[in-house]
Amino acid sequence: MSGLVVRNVSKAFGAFEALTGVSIEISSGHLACLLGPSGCGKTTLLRIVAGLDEPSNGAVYLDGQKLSGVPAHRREFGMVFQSLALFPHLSVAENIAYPLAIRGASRKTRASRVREMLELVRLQGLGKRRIHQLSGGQRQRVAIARGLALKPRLFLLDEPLSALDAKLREHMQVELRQLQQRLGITTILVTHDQREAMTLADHVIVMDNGKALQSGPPLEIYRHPVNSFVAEFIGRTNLIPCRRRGDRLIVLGSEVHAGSVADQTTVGQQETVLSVRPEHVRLCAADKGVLTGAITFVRDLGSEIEVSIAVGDIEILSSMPASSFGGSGVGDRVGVAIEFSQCNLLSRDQR
Amino acid sequence: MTSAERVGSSILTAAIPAAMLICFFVLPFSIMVAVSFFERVQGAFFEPAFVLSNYERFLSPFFGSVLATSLLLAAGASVVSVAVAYPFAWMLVQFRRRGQTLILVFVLAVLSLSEVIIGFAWSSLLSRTAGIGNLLAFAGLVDAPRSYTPGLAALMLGLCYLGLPYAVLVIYPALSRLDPAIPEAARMLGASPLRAFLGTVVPLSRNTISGALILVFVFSLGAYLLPQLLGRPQHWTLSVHITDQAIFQSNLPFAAAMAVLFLMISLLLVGVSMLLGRQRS
Ligand SMILES: Nc1ncnc2c1ncn2[C@@H]1O[C@H](COP(=O)(O)OP(=O)(O)OP(=O)(O)O)[C@@H](O)[C@H]1O
Ligand SMILES: [Mg+2]
Repeated sequence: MSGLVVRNVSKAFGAFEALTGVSIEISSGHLACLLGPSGCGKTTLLRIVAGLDEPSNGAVYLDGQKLSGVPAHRREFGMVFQSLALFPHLSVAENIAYPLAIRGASRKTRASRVREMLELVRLQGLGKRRIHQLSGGQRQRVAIARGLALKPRLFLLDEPLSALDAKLREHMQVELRQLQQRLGITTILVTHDQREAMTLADHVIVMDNGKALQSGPPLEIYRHPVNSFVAEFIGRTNLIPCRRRGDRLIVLGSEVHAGSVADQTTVGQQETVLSVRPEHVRLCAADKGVLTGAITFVRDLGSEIEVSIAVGDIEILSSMPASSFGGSGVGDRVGVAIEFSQCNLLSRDQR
Repeated sequence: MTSAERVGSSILTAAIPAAMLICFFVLPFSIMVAVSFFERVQGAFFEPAFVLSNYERFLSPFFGSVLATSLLLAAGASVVSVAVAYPFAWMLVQFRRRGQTLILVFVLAVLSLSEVIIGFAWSSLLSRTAGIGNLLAFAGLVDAPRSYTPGLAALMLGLCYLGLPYAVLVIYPALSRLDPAIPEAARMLGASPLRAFLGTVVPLSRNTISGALILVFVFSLGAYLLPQLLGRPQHWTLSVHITDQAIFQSNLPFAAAMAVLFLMISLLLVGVSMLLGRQRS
């Protein structure tokens, strides 16, 4: 297949397994996000793809070519490090021209390429500056420009936006996405921010504990998470323990007909978890819902309202547009209606 | 605390180092400068006077060549020490933490050995009867063991052995503070590992390198036992002659004059090299 294939890659540091049998596929020209909590092995996987570390097992292929044994400096990949790793002893222009200088490009080629790249990341006229004379966002762009200067076969970014403030980050996300689509370069972006992944990615790979749990288009993962960890990590969700009895479900003591729930659990499993997104929980009159509870908190965000309801000993979060909120207050008893067709039955997380 | 008390205590905190500086540095140095102008009395010690003869005596071809030898030896030792210490420190940084500490402890243990012990150890190691010459002969690399000391090579070896831990001590922290992603970034951009090292790590630690060079240089200038233990008389440095004049010839004024001149010349050299370093960066 054309694109990147990681096949069954494992990596051990001494006795510690940082990656266990990770397999992923990314189509050529796509942007994939590696998403997972801190320490789950994202950087380790990225470094193996880059050729900076060798896998203990498995291999990486690009456009059908096996990359084992190809050293990092021959792979022609662009990479933006978490720390950016710009060269402080060189100017912005010299940083961007570094890969060309290594390959002995003439002064003229370098100058024109630098101009082109600076224009691409909208830093015209800053070529003579030193790195320490730039703002955080400008440094980010220099790092991106340097990584793209040679039109890499694969572009790798390790949490490139994590150091920026929220507003600049959203702005850079959009810019990065537009840039990547314009150039059509296959890209892997590491992040632990699920919003960032949803904004940017064609393809999301959720990792935990050194394993790739699920990979696919972001909406697909959002709608059909394979287990409760993924459901919680991608977006917010209510995880409600329940039992299965025939084609009916016992949710918190109420028996409901739930034939349309997407079922991701192993057949025969009785103890399961129902994942309900807050936007699929509605409030109604106390005697109308499948469950009843008391409101414990109302968060009015202006355009949207979030309501927490205590049902039995668990807390259910509901979110709705401000216009459809009935005006109940803390302490009121309300009914809870759930759109079961949008929910997922998941196996209990064994972690 | 009232503001008067605060001023009082800040004066006190400034006063202690100042007093120590005056007591242990300014005062002895002033005495030495004064003595350098005194007149030597044959058969006695010296008496106060103001004569320039001590300085005049230094301006001879003999002491000129001694000075040149001292400076060249120190410069050579500092260049070799840093040339060895730099790659050594870099490899050390690539090790695991625990390994690093262990090796550092070994290297720094050399610092606890005095110049005397190091000098005698090397002079027996390089000797004909007990030295590594025997090992080489045993391994069949040379026909018969011979002595490698005294000589220029033996002296340089000793000086570098002495200077190396200091160079490592200066270089290691700077290299371990360097972001390891920087040379990796260079590799991702197409530079071979060696080229990435020379293109990023070396230029980024230029100030550290010149600092280590200066430190080992100044330190080697002060060596006065090694030249006598491992070198021939023509390798005797100014420090040796100063010791000789002060202790064995009892000519303290001349020794003081040489010491003052030596200090001035060293300071001048260090100052000039620092100035050059500053201008380039
Ligand atoms: N060189 C190493 N030696 C030993 N353990 C390592 C090494 N590098 C990484 N690890 C371990 O491997 C695991 C995965 O590390 P990795 O850096 O890939 O995490 P990550 O997903 O990038 O986390 P973060 O989001 O915090 O950057 C961690 O538990 C880490 O302690
Ligand atoms: Mg990481």
